[in-house]
Amino acid sequence: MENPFTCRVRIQDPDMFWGRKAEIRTIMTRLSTMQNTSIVGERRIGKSSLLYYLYTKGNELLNDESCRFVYLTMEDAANRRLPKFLNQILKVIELPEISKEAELLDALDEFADKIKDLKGMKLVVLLDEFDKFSDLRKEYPPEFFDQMRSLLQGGNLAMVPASKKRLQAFSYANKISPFFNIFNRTDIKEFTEEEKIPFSPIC
Amino acid sequence: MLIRIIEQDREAGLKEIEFITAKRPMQRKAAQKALIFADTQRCKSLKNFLEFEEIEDVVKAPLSRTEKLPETYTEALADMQEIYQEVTAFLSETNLYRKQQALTRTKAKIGNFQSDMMRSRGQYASWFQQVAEHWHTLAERETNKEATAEMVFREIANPFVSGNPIRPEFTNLLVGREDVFKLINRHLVGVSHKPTLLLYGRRRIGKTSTLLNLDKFLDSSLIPVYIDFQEPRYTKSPGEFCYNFYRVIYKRLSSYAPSYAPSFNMPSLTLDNFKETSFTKLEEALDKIEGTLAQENDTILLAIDEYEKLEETGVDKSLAEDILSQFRHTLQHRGNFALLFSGSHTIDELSRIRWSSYLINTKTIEIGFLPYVAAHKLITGPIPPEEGFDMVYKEDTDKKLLDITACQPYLVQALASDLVNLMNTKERREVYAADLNEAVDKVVTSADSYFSYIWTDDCRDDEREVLLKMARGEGVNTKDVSQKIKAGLRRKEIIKENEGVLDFKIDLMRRWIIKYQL
Repeated sequence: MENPFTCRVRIQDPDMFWGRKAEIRTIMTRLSTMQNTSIVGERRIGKSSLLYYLYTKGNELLNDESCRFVYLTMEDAANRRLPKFLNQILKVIELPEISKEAELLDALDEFADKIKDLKGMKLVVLLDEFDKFSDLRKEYPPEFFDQMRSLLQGGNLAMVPASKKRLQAFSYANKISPFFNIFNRTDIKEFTEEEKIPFSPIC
Repeated sequence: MLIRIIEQDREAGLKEIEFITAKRPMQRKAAQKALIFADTQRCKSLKNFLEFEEIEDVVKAPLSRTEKLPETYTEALADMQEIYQEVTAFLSETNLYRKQQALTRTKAKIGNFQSDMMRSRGQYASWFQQVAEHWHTLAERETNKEATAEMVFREIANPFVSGNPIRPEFTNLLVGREDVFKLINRHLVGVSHKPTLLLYGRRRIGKTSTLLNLDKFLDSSLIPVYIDFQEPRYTKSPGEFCYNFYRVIYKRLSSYAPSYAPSFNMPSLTLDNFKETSFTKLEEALDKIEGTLAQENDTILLAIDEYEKLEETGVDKSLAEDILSQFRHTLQHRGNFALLFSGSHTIDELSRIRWSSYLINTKTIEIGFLPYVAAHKLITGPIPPEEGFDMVYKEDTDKKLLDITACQPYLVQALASDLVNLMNTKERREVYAADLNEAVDKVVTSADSYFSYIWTDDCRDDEREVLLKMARGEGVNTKDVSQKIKAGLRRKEIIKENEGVLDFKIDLMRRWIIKYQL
């Protein structure tokens, strides 16, 4: 018999995704007005699978064709450089890339101009493994978070980061960046009793 | 005989027709007629939409791929194929709204099918008309079923916005700020010397929402230009500041009125133009706009959000002072410009720069918690009922919601939003006290960043110590706490005094401390 269960990898097929209805409702309701949600949960609890489900089903759930979803993981070595990270986002909306040689602040400027001028389009960044930013303070200076906060409040861009720790745990010089207080937090925990039913042995 | 074969096995019937067509051409038409009769009979026998899968062969496999078929049949088949697709979409859809849309499309296609067959003069039109009528009846039955399902539960619309500012398109969500707008008008309209205004309020109180909605509520002679100092472009270098400052004014005025177009030579002004003698270049550029502003009797209101960014160590101090000098100069020498700074600190709280020497004659407009009536209006009617918000507060849960949030705008919106989501999960629109308690548990987590910021960044150690005691229910007497701590916690809108005892102004803060700090 083919074993339908997967472990250690995120679920990619939305038909194999199960549960999390309340969490999905909360996230999608917020996204309908481009509000940002931070997903927090321990490892292997299903954060990546949830983000990927939103990536594959987001348009359908939101019923909004003008919205584009991009799934990025900070585990991907390519995303550890700021211009590359920004370009991954721009690629989804088919906009010209920022030069890889651009100074960090110039790259942010250019990115901000492009996002502000999306002409009716909206963009949702589903950002996995947010905790990795802790090791990337040099590549992602405080100005990155300032710029993102400004853009995430503008209505064209929304972000759903997933992390093991609360976002506030990530800070510069023991000071919480105001970037983090624009996120509403949704915890991912074990399945509810109702969600466990399909996995229960049949007696 | 042929009809019986077809009824039992359509594939066998088609083969029989092929045989008849090849070997007995005289009987070809009779065979076709028999098959069409059998197909239409099957289509008419469906009891509901679920049985549509039984006629997949009828709509997908025509009578012949080689023979020329009757025109009416071909036309009917095309209509039936479209209807079949819509019915399939309807059956597979789980989202109620989109299911209803699929049903509407199905009914429209059936309507087309009926019209086409009414118009057709072909031999078989009447048979297909009967099919169309029967399917119309099935669609009506599904409509009634859907309507019944809707009576069971239709999701409550959730328009609440928390975390992000309320942009002008969220029409009814910005409430209770009439006084702020009135004060701005009073200070700036019809006066010869306009003071610098400071919109002061704690974080998540609605300052940015207010700035983004100035256009809707201020006198028409004021043209607000929103500038967000969080954007690194304003604090990188003098050239970058001047270029971006001018560009944002240009963009605003270009969309405001055509009369301003000749004042600009923006397309020829690039960042390079501003790199040398940046502030002089900016002055020259502003001179041109000033003339038109005076002619039109308009005033540009520079709404500077997050103004304290200039105070941060990451920003070059001399650049910050140059920028403030520019603002002072603009205000002193340009009658058609006004300044509105916005931030969560008063000038007295900032020490790196001597703000008072730059921002002379500053009037502070404080923005605080929402008035009770406005907050109540917000949670009971954020959008009209016909747009889908029909949640019903029972057991005084509306009043309890406002008590527990103390009408702090971010928390009101966050709790109301979590409550709607909860009720949608429960598929019930009447809210009882137990439901509110459940939503309160959720919002303590979903608003975690708000509380966390107050706790970690806003409060000092000695203040946190007092708050911990209060959260533990140890009953902290006012007289046992130093004036400094009380003043600090009052200013941060965390505590209130109640008959000689300190209490939390926002009960949710107490609950958050219990959950995350004890």
